[in-house]
Amino acid sequence: MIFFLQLLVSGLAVGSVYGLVALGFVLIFKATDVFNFAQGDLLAVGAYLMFVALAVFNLPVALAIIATVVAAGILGAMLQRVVFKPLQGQPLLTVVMATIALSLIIQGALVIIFGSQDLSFPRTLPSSIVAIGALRLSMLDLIIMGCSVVCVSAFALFFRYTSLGLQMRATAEHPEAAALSGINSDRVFTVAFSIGTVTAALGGIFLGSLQVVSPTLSQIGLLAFPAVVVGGLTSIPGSVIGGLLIGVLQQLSAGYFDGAVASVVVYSGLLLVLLLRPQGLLGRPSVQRH
Amino acid sequence: MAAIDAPATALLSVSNIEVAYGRSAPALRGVSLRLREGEVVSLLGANGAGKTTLIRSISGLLKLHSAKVLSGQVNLDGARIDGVAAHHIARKGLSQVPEGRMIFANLTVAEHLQIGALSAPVEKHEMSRRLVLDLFPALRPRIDDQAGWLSGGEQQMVAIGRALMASPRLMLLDEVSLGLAPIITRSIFEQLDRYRRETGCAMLVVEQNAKLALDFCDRAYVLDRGRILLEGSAADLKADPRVQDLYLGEAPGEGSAYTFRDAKRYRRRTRWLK
Repeated sequence: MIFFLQLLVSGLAVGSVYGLVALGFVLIFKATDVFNFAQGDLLAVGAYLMFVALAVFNLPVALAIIATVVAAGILGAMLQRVVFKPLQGQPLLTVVMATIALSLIIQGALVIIFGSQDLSFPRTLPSSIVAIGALRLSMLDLIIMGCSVVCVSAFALFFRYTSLGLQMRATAEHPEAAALSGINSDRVFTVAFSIGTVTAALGGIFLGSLQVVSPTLSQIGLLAFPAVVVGGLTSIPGSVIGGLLIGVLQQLSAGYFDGAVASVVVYSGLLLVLLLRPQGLLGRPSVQRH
Repeated sequence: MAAIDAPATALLSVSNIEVAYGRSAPALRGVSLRLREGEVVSLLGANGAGKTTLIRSISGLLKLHSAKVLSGQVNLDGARIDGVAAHHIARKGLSQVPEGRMIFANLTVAEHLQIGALSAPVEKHEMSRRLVLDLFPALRPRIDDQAGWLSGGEQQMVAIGRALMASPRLMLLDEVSLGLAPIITRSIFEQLDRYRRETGCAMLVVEQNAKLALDFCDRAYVLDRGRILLEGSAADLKADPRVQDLYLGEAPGEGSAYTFRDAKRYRRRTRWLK
């Protein structure tokens, strides 16, 4: 039972990172209709930015996180301006291909700059062990879960209650009608890409703290996609629940069996959800009365 | 028919514009139009006449549809607006009720009104909201419902309400009657007329239902294949046998069924009128 609970907590910690990355993905998709396949690579970029802030600029952990978040926000805005703005109005497939190209460019650039060896953060978030009875929990896992909950709640409130959040939802639904209502879609898209990149970078910081910093983080970040699909493409709570489910399934099956079984279990679960509920667990079919 | 002399101080003036989509032949050729403060002007014409293109030229949506103004200019309150982005034009006091309503299906009615108010000063929001719900009381019980679940008539009220929330000086109404029952259409136009009388808002109305449009407006332009064919006061145009024949179906001696021969005659006539 103790083993199960420890696996469960570590699954929730990893799952909350997937949820965070999935949340960024959903934010971009909700606001711009862009299915960003480079989201996992932006996670890896976040981890490397954190590494640079700690190892090269020697910043304390808190400052390094702030610097990474700011740099990621700027990077997201630049990507929107340079790559996605010129693609506005192009067919879905063209935009998807552009995100895949971007993903490969980022992966190549990271290897060129940092090499393909594993790196570790020289200083990291507190990782002491907290004992609750016989249950031993990592402080890092708890911090990551706490941060993820705060981020997700903040973004959900942002979307629901702020004027900019409303503008983002409106632009995603009907860019033409949004423009006619005085909404600057360029600004909305830029904010969406910035926030989406920041959430991916936060995921990179957490995953880099839990594991090592290497180009393979891009592939691990890809586990956010099943989380997005399971949760429902446009649902913020859905993306988080999807992330937690994927994380827990992965850790339990890896703990009781091995890593290969974990992949089979995760993707079988994805397939099952898609067969039973194609719009995802919390996704809604598009609302339109005919 | 004598053209109405355009006033020197037009709220909206379109001067001799030529508009083309991509590299295709121009959809508008040398179109000019003027609209005074508080005036209601209709644009009549068959499908493909260029009505929606003209509306897009005014509201700044040409770029989104891969079209551009090749020559001529559009001025709103003396400032040139052709080539200006739609969201900037919306903030200059121009609202549009687009063809097909373009509502945000997953947003509530209240959120639509909130979005419409983005272009207006904050102090006007509450007053505009009261006015919209007063004009369209059917929206009151649906205020927290997602707009995608509303009936066609209610969705049109939401689209109009969203445009009114901006407290516009000029409204562009593109095919408001499309797909609606006559009784709903009549009620919507009555409320628009009331709004116009209460606020002095100018309106440019695009309608295929010529009778409805001519009953509602002060003046009208008839567009055909990208050119202005006729213009004049609503009363003059209603009395004009050519308009009766071509758009109102009231020419004396005309058979009840519209035949292929009628269509050919229509094309010959409109060529001659140019």
